[in-house]
Amino acid sequence: MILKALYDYYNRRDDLPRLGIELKEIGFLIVIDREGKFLRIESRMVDNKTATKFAVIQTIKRSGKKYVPNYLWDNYEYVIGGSSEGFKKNQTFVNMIEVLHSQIKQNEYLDSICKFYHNYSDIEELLKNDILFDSMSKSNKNISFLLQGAIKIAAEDEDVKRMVLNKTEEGALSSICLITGGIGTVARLHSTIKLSKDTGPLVSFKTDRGYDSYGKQQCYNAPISVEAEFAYSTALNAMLSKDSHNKFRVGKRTFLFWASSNSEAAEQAEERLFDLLGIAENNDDDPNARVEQVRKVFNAIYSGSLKTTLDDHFYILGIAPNAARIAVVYWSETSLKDFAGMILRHFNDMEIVQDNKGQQKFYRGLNDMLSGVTRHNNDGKWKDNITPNLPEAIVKSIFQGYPYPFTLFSSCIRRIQAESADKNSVYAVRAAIIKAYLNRLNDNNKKILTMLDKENTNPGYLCGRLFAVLDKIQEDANHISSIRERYMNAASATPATVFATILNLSVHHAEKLNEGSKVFYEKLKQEIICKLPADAFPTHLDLQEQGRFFVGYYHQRQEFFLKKDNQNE
Amino acid sequence: MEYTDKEFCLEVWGDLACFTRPELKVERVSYDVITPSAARAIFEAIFWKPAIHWQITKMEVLNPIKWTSIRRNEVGAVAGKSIIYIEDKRQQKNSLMLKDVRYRIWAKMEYRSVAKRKMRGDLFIHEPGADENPKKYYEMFERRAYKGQCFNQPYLGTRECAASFRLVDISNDELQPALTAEQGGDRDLGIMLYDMDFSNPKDIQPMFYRAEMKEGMIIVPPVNSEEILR
Repeated sequence: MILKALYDYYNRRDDLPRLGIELKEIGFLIVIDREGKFLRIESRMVDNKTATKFAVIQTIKRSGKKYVPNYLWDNYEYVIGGSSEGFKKNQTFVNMIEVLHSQIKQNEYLDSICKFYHNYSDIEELLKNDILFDSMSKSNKNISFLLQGAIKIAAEDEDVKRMVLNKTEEGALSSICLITGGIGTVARLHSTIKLSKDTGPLVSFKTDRGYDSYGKQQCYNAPISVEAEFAYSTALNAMLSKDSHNKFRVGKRTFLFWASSNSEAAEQAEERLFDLLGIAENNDDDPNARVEQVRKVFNAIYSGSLKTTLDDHFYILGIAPNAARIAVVYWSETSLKDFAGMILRHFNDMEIVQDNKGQQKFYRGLNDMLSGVTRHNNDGKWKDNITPNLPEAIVKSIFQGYPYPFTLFSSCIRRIQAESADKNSVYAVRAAIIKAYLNRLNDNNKKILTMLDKENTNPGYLCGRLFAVLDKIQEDANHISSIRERYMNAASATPATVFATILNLSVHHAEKLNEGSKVFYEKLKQEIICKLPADAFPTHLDLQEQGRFFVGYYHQRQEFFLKKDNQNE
Repeated sequence: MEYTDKEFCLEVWGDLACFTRPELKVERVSYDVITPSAARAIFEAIFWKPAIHWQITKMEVLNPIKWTSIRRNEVGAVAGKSIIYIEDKRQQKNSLMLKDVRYRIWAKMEYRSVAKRKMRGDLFIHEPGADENPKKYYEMFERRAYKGQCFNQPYLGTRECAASFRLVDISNDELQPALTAEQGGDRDLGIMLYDMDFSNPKDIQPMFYRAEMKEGMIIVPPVNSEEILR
């Protein structure tokens, strides 16, 4: 299904290169004249790392020690030579030019390049004198040729392209293709998929490692025709390219997503999903507007105002590099409508009240969730500390509606308790994660609401609220928060030991407040305590109830800020 | 002698299943549903003799399709030729497998007459007796499947995914309903591996077919039909 879905995607898009042609970065050009005389080196670098892309004949798949040159473009060793291995490679390149020259008469490029190689015996020496030689040899960029005064480079030559693309490989097997079902030439090696630095093919069989079966060699083990192979690998590479809106990265995993049709609903879904999950990579001024748009689109799809048919599918593929290969770690195929429903569910589950002071930061994205539950190093970096399987597990929960992973919940509690000295250890993301996790568990507890829930009688929740009140009293009275710093962890885990002490302390704090505040806080304390069970504070709170403790704390604190804002207005 | 091939039904289930796709065999990715060759292997694990041939007719999916991904250390070498030192050959590979599967597979036991067997080149130590008939093989299978006997533990795709099985009494049992359309039981599964063609032992070829699941049921064409792509 995976390869078939990619194949369909290639056919759906009409802006991808056709079979045999590839957009390749070529960094430097050797400029020669019609007599093969060397003129200079020209650079086609765009910045320090990237070069302009040209439509050239597709990269030849090389494996092992077999040196096969690309058509009229290649890397330094093939084009120029250099070391002893480089010399052999260069020979194959020169051979290729001569063979082409004999097959295509009267082609300017082939004539000149042939003469160029004949004129000079040591090309490296010759080129060393040019200014750009150092940057050319040091960068790993590809090199091609340019005729003085011509616009197109050698690798773009139409005659050569036509000749090469119409040639069929000798000795190639013809068989049924397992993607299309038609008969075609089987691709023996598949192209590499450019997954950041780690490239490798998706389908590959190393000889004699135990993966060949029934005497078949390499990719004859899984017969896929050349056209189908080109289609799926081009589609994959297109989705993995830098400016693609069809991917997002979490840790070492890259997730690609695409829809099965071109309908408006499908396109909107793709764009908005990218907004939702790729967001941490842009600096947004108004994340809220974006969030609203995402929600509107998915709402429209789910409710049916953006029309979808039963055949509209949404695919998500998660891949990761592994040795010299790409491994598939996640695959899901759902109808577009169900998918929209899942995203909406995630939104609703993660919704929680936020303070109005300052900007409302977007917190429901994957990166924000992970950032909230991972330890940040002193220099601010945290991506290396993410628990290995957590990103996939969260992605699975979002896309399939499963309960959130337990690791997410327990890491969140752990971070809160580790950072309890910090003023903002329970902030929006963390409270939202706890709420979402607890609400998706199928148990008999009352669901946590978005805002403060005055009717909730869960002991953990009430203890959290009470703690927030006592903390606020101290803050208002003395402007310090030693109660929170010293007692929060103990209060969340073993309330009975702690609350007696801090209630006592709180009495003294309250004396420093003005009459109005005193009464207000007293009433609030009573309101909370009267809901607690009569036989004292609970001795232990299990992890779930600790979660409710922190949510209660957060809700109550937000309530204070809202009240304050109301009073100020 | 006139007879029709008898059709049997087995219900199989397991915690994990991996019907490996041929193209993603190295970092294993499973097909969405059971393949006819895996279903045939389950029947053959319970009972097989050169006198019979199992032809899968239908496969029904009873549980929703769920995936899980596991990472394992595997050996990257062929066993048998020389000693394998695992420290050099250890590779870590990811596998994307199916979870909590339950299928109902239907197969016909095709009887091969003595003449056919001789034509195929089977060797006989003794000439088959006059009591050679298909019914005895049907009964042998029924007895074994009912008791839970098997030559080797049936497995769902790969040997580490052991399968539990139960003979389904077609006429009497109440059949658990297969996946409905809302649960995802209507799908076009694309081209799937049908089986391997062993007719020429020197050049073994794969066979494919277009699998379509309707209401959780996949009709499997017979091996000599036109629908098999080779």
